[in-house]
Order: sequence, then C-alpha cells, then structure tokens
Amino acid sequence: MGFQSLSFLLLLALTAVLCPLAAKKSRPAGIALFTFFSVIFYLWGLGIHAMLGLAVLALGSLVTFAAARTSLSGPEKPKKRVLLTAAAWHIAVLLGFKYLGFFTGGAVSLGWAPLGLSFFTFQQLWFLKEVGTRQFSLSEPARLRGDEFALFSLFFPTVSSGPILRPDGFFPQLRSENFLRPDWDDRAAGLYAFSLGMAKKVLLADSLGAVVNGGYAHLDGLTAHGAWLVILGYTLQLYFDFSGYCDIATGATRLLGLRLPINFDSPYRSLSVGEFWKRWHITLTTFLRECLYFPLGGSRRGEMRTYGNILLVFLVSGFWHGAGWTFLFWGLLHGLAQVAERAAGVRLTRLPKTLRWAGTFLFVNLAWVFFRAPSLAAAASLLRSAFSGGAGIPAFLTENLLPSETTALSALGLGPSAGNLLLAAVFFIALLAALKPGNTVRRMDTFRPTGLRCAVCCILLAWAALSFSGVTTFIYANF
Amino acid sequence: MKNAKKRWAVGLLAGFLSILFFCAGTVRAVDPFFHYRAPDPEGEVWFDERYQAAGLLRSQSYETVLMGTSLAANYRPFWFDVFYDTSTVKVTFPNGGFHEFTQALDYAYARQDVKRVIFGLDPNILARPASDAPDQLPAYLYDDNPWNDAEYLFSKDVLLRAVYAAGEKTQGQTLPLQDAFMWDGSLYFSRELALGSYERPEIADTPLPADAFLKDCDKNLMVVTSWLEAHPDTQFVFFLSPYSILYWDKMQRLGETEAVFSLLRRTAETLLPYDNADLQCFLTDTDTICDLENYADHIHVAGRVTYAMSQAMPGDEYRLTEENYRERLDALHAFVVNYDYEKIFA
Repeated sequence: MGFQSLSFLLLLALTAVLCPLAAKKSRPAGIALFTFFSVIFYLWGLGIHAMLGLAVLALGSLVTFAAARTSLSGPEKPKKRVLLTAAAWHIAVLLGFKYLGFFTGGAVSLGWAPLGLSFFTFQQLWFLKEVGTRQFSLSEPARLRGDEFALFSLFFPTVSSGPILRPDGFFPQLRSENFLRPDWDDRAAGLYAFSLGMAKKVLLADSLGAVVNGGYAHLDGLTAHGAWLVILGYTLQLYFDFSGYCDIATGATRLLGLRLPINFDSPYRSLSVGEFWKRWHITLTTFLRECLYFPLGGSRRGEMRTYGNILLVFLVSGFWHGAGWTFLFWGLLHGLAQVAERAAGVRLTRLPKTLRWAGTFLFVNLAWVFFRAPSLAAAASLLRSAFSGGAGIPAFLTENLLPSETTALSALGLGPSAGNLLLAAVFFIALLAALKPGNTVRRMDTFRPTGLRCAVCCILLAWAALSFSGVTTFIYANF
Repeated sequence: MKNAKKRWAVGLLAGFLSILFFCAGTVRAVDPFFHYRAPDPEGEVWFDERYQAAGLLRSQSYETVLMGTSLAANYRPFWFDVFYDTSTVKVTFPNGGFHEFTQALDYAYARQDVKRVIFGLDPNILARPASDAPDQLPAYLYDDNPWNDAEYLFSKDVLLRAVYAAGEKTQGQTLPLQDAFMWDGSLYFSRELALGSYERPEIADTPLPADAFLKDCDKNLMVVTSWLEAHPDTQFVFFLSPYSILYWDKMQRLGETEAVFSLLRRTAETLLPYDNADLQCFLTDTDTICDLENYADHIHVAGRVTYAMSQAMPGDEYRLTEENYRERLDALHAFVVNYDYEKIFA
C-alpha cells in the first residue's frame, strides 16, 4: 500500500482509533493490533510478491531475534559469531534479491525484491550491531520481547522507505507513557507534519516529476534552459519526494504517540558536501558512519586511510541506492567531493558563504543527474544539452504538469500560457520551501495553532488527497 | 494551549472531511462519467471515451458493440441498428490498445448478451508492439465493485470535469448520444487539407523486411482470436478502414509496403478460419482511397464514407474469404506498387 492512497488514509484512521482503544485494555493487545495493521499495509494490493516479501522479512526478523536472544543468553559478552552469522544472512538476502542481476550481467536475476528490503536490511544490521556492542539499552534477553521486535521490523510508517530506525531510539518509546496514548499535542503535531508531507509529496514532488520525466523522455530535444530545468527539477523532486514521505511517516507515527528521528534538515542550505550529508537522509548517514566508517577505523588511522574509508562508505551508499553504474558513479562523486573538502581543510571555510552555498548546490544538482539517469550515456547527454543546447523551454516539459489545474487556468482565460505559469509557480514554491530555514519535523511541536495555518494545512491535505486518483489526459484526444 | 491544539486538530480534520465530501457530493450529483445513471440520449457533454464508455456499456441496452480506435469513431450507432436490425452501443478509444479493448469487451459481456461485435481493425495498431500500446482504462469504472468508487468520487480531476459538464449543460452545449465522440463535424475533409497535413517522408535507403511487423502482429492477433474463442456465439465483424493513397505513398517511400501486406495476409489467414469472424476490407476500395476529398489526413476518412461502409458491412462486396483474400490483396498490392504517386503532388 502506498501512502498516496485513500486506502492508506483509511488504514491510518483505523490504526489511530483502534490501537489506542486496544492498548487501554492491554498494551500487548495494542502492539498486536498495530503489527496486524502493519501486515495489512505491507500486503495490500501487491499480490503474491507482497506475500513472499512478507515471508522474507518475517524470516529475517526471526533470524535477527533468535541471534540476539542466543547471543545474550549467557552472562559473558555477547556471542559475536552468532550476530555475525545473522548479519551475513541479511547481507546475502539483500545481495541475492537486488544485486544478483548486476553481478551476473543480467544472466541471473530474481526479477523482484521484497518491498523495503534495503531499509529492512540496514535496520536489522543496526540492531545486531547495537546488541553486539551493548549500545542497545534493552540488551537483556528477558527485556527483548518478540511482539515488540515484530513491530520494529514491520512498522508500517517506515517499512517501505525508512527512516531507518535505530533500536535504542525505538524500543524505549514502546514502554513510554505516550505510546498508543497520544494527547492533542501529539495529534495536532502529527496532522501538521502529515498535511505538509502529503503536499510535498503529491503536489510538489509529483508535479516536478512530470517535468523531469518529460525531459528524460525527450533527451534529444532538450534545450539548455530545458536541461537545467530538468536538473533542478529532479533535485527538488527527490527532496520533496523523500522528505515528504518522511514527514508523512513522522506525522502518522506521532498520531500513535511515537516519534521518528529527523531524516532531512534543510539539506539544500548546506555550505559543503560534508554538511549536506549531515542534513540529507540523516539516518542512513548515521548508520553508515556507525556501522561501516567507524569499524573501518574512521579518521583515526592516518590521512590516506581516512580518504579510503570515506570513498568506500560513499560507494556502498551509492550501491545501496541501486544496482547500477550510475549509482556507483554518484556515490564516487560524493566520496571524492568529501575527500577534496577534507584535503582543502579550513581554506574552504574562508570563502564567502554565498559562494560555498552556490558551489555545493551546483555540485549536488549535477551529481543527482547520475542518480536519476537510466545510464551514464543518458546523463552525459543531459549534461551536454545543459552546456551546449539552445534557448527556450520545450513544450514537452509542461505537457503532463498538473493537467487539471492547467485546464482550469486555461478556461479561466490564461490560455496557452497557463502551462508555463504553473511551471514557474511550482519551481518558485519548491525552491522557496527547500531553502527556507527550519523544517516540518522541527516545527511540529512549536507551530502556533492559528486559524490560517489550519486552513492552509486543511486545503493542502484535501488537494493532495483529491489528487490520488487522476484522470489521464490524452494528447491524441483530438482524433 | 492544549485546547488550542485540540481545536486546531479537530478543525483541520473537519475541514478536510468537508472538502472531500463536497467533492464526492458534486461528482455524485453531476456524475460526468455516467457511473450511477444512464446518459440522457438527447444531450450530454461528451469529452473522454475511456472514462465515459464504461457508463455507456453499463447503462445502455444493446446486442451489438461497435469498437475500435479513432477510425471507428465517426460511425453513428443507429446506422448499424438499421443495417443489421440490432441495437448498438459505440465504444471507441483513440489510439486504443488491445488490452483496453479486451477490458471493455469483458465488461460488455458481463452486463449484456452481446451478439455482435463490429471492430475497426486498424493495421497500425496490429503492427504496434504491445509495450507501446496505451493501457489507461480506469479499472474502477469498468467493474461493479462499489469500494473502488472512492477513486471516482474523491478525485479533483473528476470534480473539474463535473463542474465543466454542469457548466456546458447549463449553456446547452450538449450532443445527443448518437453523435457522441464523433469528430467529423469539427473537421473539414478535402484534398487540400489531406495534403496539407501530410508530411511526405524521404525515401528510405533500405526497405523493411517483409516480416518486420509479423512478430507484434501475431501477438496482437492472439488477443483477437482469444475473443473469437471465448465467445463462439458472437459474430465478430472486423473491418479494415480505407487508408488513403497518401498512406500507401508513405509506405512506399519508407519501404514498408511489403511488411504491411505481410501483416494483412497474416491477419486474413488467422481470422478467416473462424466461423464467427467476418473480415470486411475497405482498403481495396481504390475509388475511395484515391479521392483525397474524402480525407482529413492520410488515414482519417469523412462521415459520408463511413456511412457507405456501414451500409456495405452486412453484404459481401468487401468481405474477404479464404477463397478470395489472396487475389484481392494481390490486386491492391499491384495497385499501390504501380501507382504514379507523383501526380498527386504535381
């Protein structure tokens, strides 16, 4: 089930009403019902692959849980061999489902992967690591409960796309007073993040996606202006898509009295690539830092080793995002940029802030081209158009941008300029929202509950919900 | 503060639900896609075949389904009512894909006792790979599941169309059911226009192999024969619309003539063995195809010609049989290969 559906709104409403009622009678009943709704979320509408995917995730959870219990069974230090075996299992499952095709040149491929497997794998690895290092505060077998672990593994607000849950940030909340007993502060905060998240995802990211998809479908016809719109459009689309998703997840979670970690902290305001990674997909960066960079020695084993570790971490990050050369190249670019920044040291910080921001933003934009492009050749083609194409904005960029809104504006007298007007409006609003200080998750607890803010959130949420089901407009409709 | 947050949250939810139910109420009342009511045969606002055809299939009483792409759109259903002594509903999808036609046919069979299907078999869609064909019918309209009606009721796109339909109706901007989705009234058909919209391609260096379209054609014909086999008691009348001589000029210059004839022969060989299949080939009507006054472009033909074709459809004049199809297609082949195309442009 996707977040962008009426079914999800219904499921969330049922969860938010029924789970607290069940928890009033007994907390385990509340957890069981929450897990049940998480299973429904996972299976809804996705057929046999969803059932198989759920089986893979359930088996993986069992492996982790059993390894953790076994490892902690004695009074001595955790049995690391057991934990490493479980970690190897998770890595093997991830490689088998997602990377077999890449490693065999497409000769062998399962052709599908369980929904959310990449996030699930890292979350399970993080759990095993924290059990092994005793960082996990519930590292006693008696306190590690199966029902709580099942909810941790299948938790529906995060199961498909994160944020990656850190065990020590999640389990203690299940024993807090607020869990499944949200007050009106929680509900208001949840609805605030949920509304803005939906608007980011449905109204901004999907609209920008229409422009970006139009550009990638007509790479040969792109002008320089068009190419830059596609590049900037994807930068903004990806941010609003993922951060919107995280806001929705955070809002939904808060409606149940839980909190999720901040995953995006205005990343496009960063003054360096290093800072960008402290603000972008923060849970992934934290996981890679704690579970890969530090164990490799971090920055404590000399300069060259540090550079090597940084490059390795970003290659793994690139590969985690997708099994393809474009993702590896994107990871390599970010790794090299961070190595260069580290090598430059304080000299970079002496540059004017505006220059540092512009350089970082330009680099991030250009690197995203490799993240989005279907191939290195397509990325090169887009970049070529950006630097040597002609002027003007091709019509295919606005062809599928908010078609109903375009039709309505055209009917109101704006005529054929309605498409370009909406294009300008979407980019302007998206840039403003991406670059303004603060973010939704930070404002959840501090916003003033004014009537105007209520009306804006209400309209944005309704507009997004009424956009879930669209009517396709056909170009060929004249005949 | 607690009360303020409570008021804020309750206000947001109440406002959100009010907007949603206002939208659903408006869509339900206007029902622009005829999901809950039959269209008024005297006047409706017709604007989208894929979304409004489901309502026609559900609400009309019919024995015959007229189906096809835009080439089948300029036929009035009552012509077939008269010429076949039947009752007809027209369901056409511009640039339609075979999966869409199957979906619509399945829905028609679920709702009515369909005795005849008249299908515009467009060579262009036969040659098209399935992956390039649109597959855009909204599933929530082509079933009787009330639960997925939410996709219809809670959609700003449908709301916009409801407002548009209501506005047009208020201003009397409607068309009767018989004229639904006809576009020949809004276009002129003339030699000048046909030539004006025709871009004559450069001559290809090497012609396409004769079997270039057969792989995709076979896959598409498998869908068509699945209809024939699933409904042996239904008479299927497939008709090949008369593409103009400009189409053949294009095929000659692109080196695709042999590939198109292979496709036509394969179509006849595949369909004619079925007892419940008729194949009416208007492509061979050389008088019509050479008279560019009949066309808006290189394939789309005027209403006067579609009327004559619908009149001829029950008869044998254009019918291909296992005995005559080679001879007729060979004659057409000789005609288009030897035609002096330069005189069109002189």
